[in-house]
Amino acid sequence: MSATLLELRAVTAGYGDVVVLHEISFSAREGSVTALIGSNGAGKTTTMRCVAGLLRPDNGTIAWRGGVINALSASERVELGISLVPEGRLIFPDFTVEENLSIGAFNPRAKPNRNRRRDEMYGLFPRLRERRGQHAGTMSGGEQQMLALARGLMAEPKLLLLDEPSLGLAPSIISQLFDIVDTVRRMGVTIVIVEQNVHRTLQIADYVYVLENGQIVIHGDAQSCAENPNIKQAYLGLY
Amino acid sequence: MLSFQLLIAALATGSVYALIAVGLNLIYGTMRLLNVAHGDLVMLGAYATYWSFSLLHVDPLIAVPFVGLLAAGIGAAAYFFLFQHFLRTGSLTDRIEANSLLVFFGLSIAIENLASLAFSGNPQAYEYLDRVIRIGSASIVGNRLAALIIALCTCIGVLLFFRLTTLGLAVRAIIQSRDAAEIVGVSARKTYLLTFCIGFGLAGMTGAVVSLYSQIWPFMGFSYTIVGFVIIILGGLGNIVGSIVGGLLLGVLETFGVAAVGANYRSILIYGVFIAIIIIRPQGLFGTKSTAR
Repeated sequence: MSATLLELRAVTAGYGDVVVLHEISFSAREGSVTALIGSNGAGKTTTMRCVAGLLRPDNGTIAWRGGVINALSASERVELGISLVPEGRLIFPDFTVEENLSIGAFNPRAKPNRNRRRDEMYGLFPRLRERRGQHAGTMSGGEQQMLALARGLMAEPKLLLLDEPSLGLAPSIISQLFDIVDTVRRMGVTIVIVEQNVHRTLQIADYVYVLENGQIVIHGDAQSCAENPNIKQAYLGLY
Repeated sequence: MLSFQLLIAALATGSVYALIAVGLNLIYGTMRLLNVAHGDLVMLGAYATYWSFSLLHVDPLIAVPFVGLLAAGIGAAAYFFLFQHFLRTGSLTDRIEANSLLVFFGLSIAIENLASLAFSGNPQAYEYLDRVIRIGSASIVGNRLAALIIALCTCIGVLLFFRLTTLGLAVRAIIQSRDAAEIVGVSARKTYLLTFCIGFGLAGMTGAVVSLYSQIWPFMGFSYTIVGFVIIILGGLGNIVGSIVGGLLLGVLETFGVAAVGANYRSILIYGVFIAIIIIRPQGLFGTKSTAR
């Protein structure tokens, strides 16, 4: 068994007085793909924001290789190797594709290899090479999603957090996207993925957590989850 | 009317305006903080240059960068003592725009009155490079020409910093989205500190430049703050290039306008531009929806 890279212990978090997550615990092993599934408003994105450091938990601990990282800001967590590809993409619309990628390697760990890394990304996403001089805000949704993913990888992450990467994309692009996610995991990057597309997600995930109303209600390896009647009924549309 | 002489005069006014606006807009763009005390830093920079010239006989041109560094230090102090705690909790950060206006306004009143206690309320000036220089058909006083060159070069330097350096890219990333910048590893706090230093430093340098040709007194800052506001509305909030172009443009409008209708209308011209822009194009001449939130 590989070591635990990320571990959340009884994390409670929310916005102002609204509590979204109630004592969530989950972990991601090094080199694995961990999926968080659940309906809208279950707290998936909030969980990702907590791990990335954009939101501070009200209670509980977030541990990286066993050390508590609650107090670290998002930018400090990037230095550790945590990279978020956020829902809604959050790319820099006024930057060109190339500038978006360059700023992705801002952390001191990734900066020395920036240009080589950028060429690798152009290899992985040929579309971005074609669009390298274009302002990111003028690209299509699918291209922006690819850019967000490439930018996340520019940071040379050890843990990649993918928040709804397939949201709003055409089916052909979704299939491309999952292929790339698979490539990334074979590069040795640990992945935590939040997805609505449960069917595809179960195919690439090793371990699955199901979130409902801010709590983990089911968890297990992907195989057993795919056979779980509750998951089949609620998320796969099978009876 | 469209004489070379007027154009030089417009450039002399506009380049200093641009310098004022860039510093003001940088802090606004990155932190949504409206620095009402910006003009007071200009005043302090002017006094620093004046005293170092009249007491220590330091050449004002040599004083410019040092005054800038001094003002940058004040910026760092202002960040640590006045603003850092605003960024500690989300609820305070959300209200920072309104709160900052009060903090900066208080700072402005304090600086102005302390300055008038320390330096007296009487206008001061010194004589430096006051020979008239001829450029083709135009003539310009030496100190105005020096101010023009320093202001223009500084603006170009700032622009190059933002276009060409990784740090400049990071500041522009924060201007577009704080969260997006944080998740690629750009520390918002470090960037804010840097912005305070650059913004205040540019204000101090502007003061040093202004003192070359203008009378200085403790309450001179407000008119510079107002000019800065007009320009950042003109060029777009958070848009650095827009500020430089807007500053030069306002210099042209003011100089040619005054030549056409008389100096009594100077304020009307400036506020007229301000009101016209707010009505016709509130996002600024070069603003887009993403930069002018």
